[in-house]
Amino acid sequence: MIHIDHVAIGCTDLYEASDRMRKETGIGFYDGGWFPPVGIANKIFPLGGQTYMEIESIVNGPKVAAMAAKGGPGADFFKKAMQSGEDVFTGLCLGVDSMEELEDLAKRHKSIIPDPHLGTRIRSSGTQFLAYQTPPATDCWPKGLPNWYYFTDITLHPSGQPVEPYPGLHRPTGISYIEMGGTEKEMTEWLGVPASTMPFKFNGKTKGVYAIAVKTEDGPEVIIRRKNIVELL
Amino acid sequence: MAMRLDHYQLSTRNIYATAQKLRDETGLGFYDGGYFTSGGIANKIFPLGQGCYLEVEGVVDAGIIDKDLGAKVFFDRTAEGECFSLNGMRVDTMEEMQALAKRFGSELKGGASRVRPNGPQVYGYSTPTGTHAGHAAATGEVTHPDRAGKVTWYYFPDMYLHPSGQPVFNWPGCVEPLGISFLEVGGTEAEMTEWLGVPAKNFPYRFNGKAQGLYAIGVNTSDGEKIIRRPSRQ
Repeated sequence: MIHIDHVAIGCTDLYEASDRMRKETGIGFYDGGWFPPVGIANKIFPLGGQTYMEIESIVNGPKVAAMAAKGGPGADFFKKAMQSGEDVFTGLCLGVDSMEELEDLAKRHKSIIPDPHLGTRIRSSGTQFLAYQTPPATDCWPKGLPNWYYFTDITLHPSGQPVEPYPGLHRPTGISYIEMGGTEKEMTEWLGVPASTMPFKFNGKTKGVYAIAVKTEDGPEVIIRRKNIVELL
Repeated sequence: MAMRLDHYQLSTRNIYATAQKLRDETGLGFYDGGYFTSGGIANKIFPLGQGCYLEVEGVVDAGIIDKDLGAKVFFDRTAEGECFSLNGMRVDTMEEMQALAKRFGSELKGGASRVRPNGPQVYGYSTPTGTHAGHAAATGEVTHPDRAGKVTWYYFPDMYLHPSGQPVFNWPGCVEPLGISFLEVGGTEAEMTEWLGVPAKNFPYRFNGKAQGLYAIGVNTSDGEKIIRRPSRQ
């Protein structure tokens, strides 16, 4: 079963952008930790309904620059995404419930499932729990296409962790819609299941994410609109 | 039917003191689980790894003991000290829970239950009734003496919020829990297999032949195996 898992935003400074996002939306976040191989870290906003948003930026500039100089996969993309001077949607990540489903998707897209130990985030607590993906984000995100994830232990899913205390937070209860570029037909073709089964709205522009709307238990629907990185590449 | 180990209850008169003592004893960390809207009960939760947890649970509203039979039972069974009082397993779907409830001719209890200190209420379902023999008798539920001390099944719709996955309080020298190594229970393997409906040998149960109930939990940790042993009063 394919479902929405998380949405990624790139920014210049994850601390400043996360604080600003919290003030703007009333949705809380916690420190997600860091990705050792790629010099990036994130803050995580649980959105309810087993979904979340991650705000990422570069925390190890020389590492990212060296990777980009070597032509490392995605390094140039992340460098542009996080140094564009503003927050940008960088990727949409779908979830599946089993490794078998992920393997089927890898086969259908003639792609691979990279070793998760190389790319999985290390939490602030020092623990690492594995997330498998296909096709790799570095292949899909620059094209404005979603990729798929399988989390080996759903009880540790990033969407279920508590946020930092902050006055007046709303409690998010799930994503009501995601505004995407492209068309429903194109998305259906990519997903292999009808795009109408997911909460997408299509604007016909360049593929990628343009906005997400989040329901809250005790407040209004929150709409987060940012630029689509693919338009800036 | 996919069936997994899930959680265990350690009843006590003072959840604060017991949680602190258990952390000192094992190095395992805990967090505040919050309270139940009925019965004046609250708990502290020790994640045990691999989707399992231990709840240290007790009455926190002393005034309710004379008014709520469920609270009174909780209080009474700890008269002689801490005790294990629940062995919970988990299934993955509501359909499986309904099948279990049907098999036992029991109701499916559940919905919003515990109120977390920092988040949404925990939604969970359980079956069958009667595994808490004392509670069932005191609250007027249909009693089934044959069920006393046996496994109760649970279903949590929101597994991403499962109690086993929440972070613990900071504490120097906490160990990382890596899952259950064994569970010492009463009865026999044959009895457990009959109760579960699947071979008991699929799970790390050790049988001591005593009265039904949970007697000890072995937990694999980053600092070796930790064993939590208490009397069983379920």
